[in-house]
Amino acid sequence: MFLTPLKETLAGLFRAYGAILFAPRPWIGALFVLATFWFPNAGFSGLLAAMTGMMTAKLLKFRNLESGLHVYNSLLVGLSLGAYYMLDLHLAVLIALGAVLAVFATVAMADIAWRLGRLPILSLPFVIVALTVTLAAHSYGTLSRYLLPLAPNDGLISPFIDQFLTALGSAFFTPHPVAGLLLFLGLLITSRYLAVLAIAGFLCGFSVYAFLSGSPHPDLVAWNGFNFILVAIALGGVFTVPSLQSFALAMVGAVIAALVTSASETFMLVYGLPVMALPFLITTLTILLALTHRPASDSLQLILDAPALPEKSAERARLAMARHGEFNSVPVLAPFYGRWQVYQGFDGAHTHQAPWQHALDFYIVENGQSYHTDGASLNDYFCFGLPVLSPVAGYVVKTLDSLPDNAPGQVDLENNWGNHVLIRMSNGLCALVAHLKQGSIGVKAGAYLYAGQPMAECGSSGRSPQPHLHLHVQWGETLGLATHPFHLTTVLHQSNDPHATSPKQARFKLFSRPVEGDRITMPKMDPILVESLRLNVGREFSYQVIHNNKSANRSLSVTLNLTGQLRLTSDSGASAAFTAQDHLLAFYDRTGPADAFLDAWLLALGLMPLTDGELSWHDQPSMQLLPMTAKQRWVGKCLFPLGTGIDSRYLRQWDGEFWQQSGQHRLNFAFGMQIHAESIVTIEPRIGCRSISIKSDTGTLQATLLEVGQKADAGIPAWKIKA
Amino acid sequence: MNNETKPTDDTSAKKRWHKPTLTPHRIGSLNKFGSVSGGHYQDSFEAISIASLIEEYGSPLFVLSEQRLRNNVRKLLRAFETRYANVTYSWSYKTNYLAAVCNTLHQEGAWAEVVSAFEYEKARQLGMPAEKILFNGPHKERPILERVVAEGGRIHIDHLDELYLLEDVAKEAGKQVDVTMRLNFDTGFTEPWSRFGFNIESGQALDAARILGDSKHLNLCGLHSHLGTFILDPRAYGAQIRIMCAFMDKIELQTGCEIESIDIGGGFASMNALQGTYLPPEQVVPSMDQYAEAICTALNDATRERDMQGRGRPRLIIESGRAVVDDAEILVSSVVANKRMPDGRRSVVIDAGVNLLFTGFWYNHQVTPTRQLEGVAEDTVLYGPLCMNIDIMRASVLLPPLNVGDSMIFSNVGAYNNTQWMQFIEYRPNVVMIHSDKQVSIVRAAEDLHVMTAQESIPAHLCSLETQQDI
Repeated sequence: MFLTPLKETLAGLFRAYGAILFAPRPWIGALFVLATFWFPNAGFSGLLAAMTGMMTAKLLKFRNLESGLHVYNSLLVGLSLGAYYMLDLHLAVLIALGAVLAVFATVAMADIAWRLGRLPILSLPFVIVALTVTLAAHSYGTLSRYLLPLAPNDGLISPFIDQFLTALGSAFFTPHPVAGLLLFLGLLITSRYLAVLAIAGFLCGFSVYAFLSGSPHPDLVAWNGFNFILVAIALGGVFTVPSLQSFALAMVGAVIAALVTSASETFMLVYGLPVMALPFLITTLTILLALTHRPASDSLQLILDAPALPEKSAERARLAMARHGEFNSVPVLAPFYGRWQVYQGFDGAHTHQAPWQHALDFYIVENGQSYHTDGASLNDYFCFGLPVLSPVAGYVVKTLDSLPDNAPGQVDLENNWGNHVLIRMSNGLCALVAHLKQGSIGVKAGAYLYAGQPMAECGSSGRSPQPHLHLHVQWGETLGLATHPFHLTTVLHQSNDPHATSPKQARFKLFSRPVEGDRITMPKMDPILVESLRLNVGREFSYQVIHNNKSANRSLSVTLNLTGQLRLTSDSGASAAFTAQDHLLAFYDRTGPADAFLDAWLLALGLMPLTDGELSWHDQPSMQLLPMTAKQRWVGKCLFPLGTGIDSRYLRQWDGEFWQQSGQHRLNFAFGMQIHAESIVTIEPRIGCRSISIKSDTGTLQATLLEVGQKADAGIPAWKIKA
Repeated sequence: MNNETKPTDDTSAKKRWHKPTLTPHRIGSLNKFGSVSGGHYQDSFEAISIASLIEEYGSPLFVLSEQRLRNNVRKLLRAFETRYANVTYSWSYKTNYLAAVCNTLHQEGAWAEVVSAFEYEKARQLGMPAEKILFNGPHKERPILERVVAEGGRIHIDHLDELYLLEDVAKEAGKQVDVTMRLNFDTGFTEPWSRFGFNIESGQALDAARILGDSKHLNLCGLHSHLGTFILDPRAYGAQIRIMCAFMDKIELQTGCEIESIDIGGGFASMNALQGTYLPPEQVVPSMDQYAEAICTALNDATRERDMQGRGRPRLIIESGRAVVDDAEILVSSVVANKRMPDGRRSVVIDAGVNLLFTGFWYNHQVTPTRQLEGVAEDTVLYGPLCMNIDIMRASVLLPPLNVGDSMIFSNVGAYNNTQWMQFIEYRPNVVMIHSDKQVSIVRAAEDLHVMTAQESIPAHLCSLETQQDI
């Protein structure tokens, strides 16, 4: 009975230890606890402070307990005091007071920092409280100094490595190579990338520190060198998406931290205070705050909203890029029904020149002609008068529909855009649809449009020698402002390029930026397929899974978490988030323990266009989903430390009773090594995914649906259907 | 046809001899449209000479153009798909179920609309998956319903007895069967075809929808109606859509069903002159775009709410047959004899009659000579080869004198002739198709005695022409 709360408390405690080096797993935290006990005086002091902090937060019912933020600041206060004073009753009282103060300081300051550009508070409360308490301790005669039992010949590996490990250890106020080694092992298990950053950051920071100071006092490096490491980890691995640029930023940060460290040392020495994590905090918080005032870019993506281990954030960013195609490009729907051809693409020769280079013109062409009979009248043109849809959701800012349509061959240079609708999106950008037919606009300024809403007809007003449709995304609400990159999403794209692999076959694309001559079709949603793959909250599926000749009954269920994210959760605890909208079902963010069955589902059904007809598309799911042998997995981790995507090609067709969806998945290792897998899924109308089979070089997995059900909700009874 | 119909121009150095004619002066022979069929001829179809076709495949001869068929269906699909989000075209088998025609259209993405066990079996034999076959019509017997239910075809229920029968079939098969209900109602534009489906005004349709709503085995998911044939006013379709969508909203609310498709049947006119129509087809037949505009505008308006709710717009199914196939086929026929009627009119006997051209009963087909004819055009009767008084191909057409062996083209014959033609008196001739690459192939071979008698069997005592003693 007491076991569960005790277990949770312990896990919370361990997580707080882990959080200092951004390691989320409790058992790594436990390893860190062990490291602090290299100097038991500090170890016990820290533990005492952590427990006090934890109890305080719990008694006062502060939220956000599981993140361990309150606890780790208290813990650090305890560790710092334990490193300088002998643990006795007096110190224990002081530690307890410090720990309580740290909790208050954390809650108060975390909120302020979050409002100030979503900054993480990190260990700033600890530094402030620890300095306060240390200053106070100067005037308390009851405390006795504790001297760390450092022996000069405590060599472990080599002087330099020892120096690094010692510096790492002092992040926990245990400046000893053995403690440092334990911490480094924990870091290495948590994230190889963070470990690399730690070493590189220390190298950079230490070299500059040594270069400028001539011969730095080894004690100073031992005590304060961890600042370089923490700066590099935070800037390059936790609060930005890993990339060359973010790595460079981390190194620059470490170097600057060297400067700030020297400055802090000089200043703090006057008051007889230790520097602690002050240089780390000053450097990291300043740089992060400054970076929030910079336009978003793909090379250096700040992730203050969702800090994560680098492997994870790299995977998220990679998948987002693989699916969205280009960072910062605005997705829009095709503004028409049926199949249209691109008249002029981005950077088009006629009119799509800077600053309006991001624009698409569409018309309809059959057998090389855009009109029937002789093309003398507007009505001869195929696209004239056809419905035009809103490409985005947003508010109508401006409309004009009084200009006459030009006779074929003529242009109205006075009113460049002709009749138009300008729509403001929630991101602040505006979409312009122009050259509309006179008197055809059915929406008014101020109206809210959903994406895909019919709003006008295609015309030939403005600078339009023949009926066509102009679409672009621009910066502000004034006509003719500079354009912004955008792309068409969830369309069938038929390439005009004769060198393309299958020019005739239209491909379903999430990112389509067609060029002149390409054809774009708005796909039809298939209501039965949508219903068949509907993953409502509480939906449960049970499958019989035969994996490499071992059979087991497994289940999947749909859950909704507090942040409003829908997740498909397996009975093993592994889960993946998904989104179901715009005729699309897409899975992402696979978390949790290894689970071959969930991986098979995600590999085979990771990206599902819910549209009609025979369809082919492409995706790049995470390489973790591919069945591999332990050796291959190890090689993969070495070759792609931050993960990579599988080249997955899908084809779906209706076979008379079911949808058959096959997937070819390839992962190219270096030196011609390749891992290949094949997935086949059958989807039954109104039931769902009836079977999944994965064949790969390492074995097979076959899952067959046994039962579909729905969990009971208050007032709604549960149900189950045998498949 | 522009490139094939050449204006009269005399290029021969030596004037050709032509038959002398006597032309009586008649009051009223001048009209405001002028002399309609004077001087035009067409010596080839899809760049293949008619003479060579006759030489190889005989006369009479049906000639299909694959390219025109494809162009027509593409034109139809473009007109509708650029105006509405979810369009399906279904080929009406009864209009022309030659396998080559069906498969050309299926290749273009058309589904199949069948109205009998035979048509269903033919569509399946051609490889059409059952769920892309709409099974329509008032006559569906238990055995074929059992097959369609087992295979998952889409059944359009025509009457209550069929509903009960289907319910029973579905129950026995242990299946939930998706069905479509055929409706009839008055749009105010055309004569209602009330013999098919359930009537809306009388409340019969709502009753049937409620029965389907309560049914454990039938799941109402589609509505269908067909206004009639050769409908010249597109507004009729706008009215049809509004009535059907209002009915859809009503039954979805009352019975909880979800309608996924709206089938508006066919009935689009083709470029043919219906007998008794005053104006020529070029002036009265609406374009595909005009039909599409009327239909899609009404449908977009009527389904706006659904779209806003993200439910998706229902599938629009179009079953137009005539407008897609009619101008893709011609009938070539040759002159057998010239005759002067007692009333002074000229008549010509040709080798194709109403046995082949069933639509000759209600259309005045365009008749085009295949060479430039000399002489004055005269009111002429075209008689077919049958030994029957009714066999008149055109009661009145202005034609210059023709020689025996001259050929002529009857055009826009693609719809309903290769299905309604009769095996009567004559063998039915070859049907050939000119492909997009100008290759010609026979898609239905001419009949011969073996074909005619293949189904017959002669009882033993009738085998001999001699009477048996004991009878």
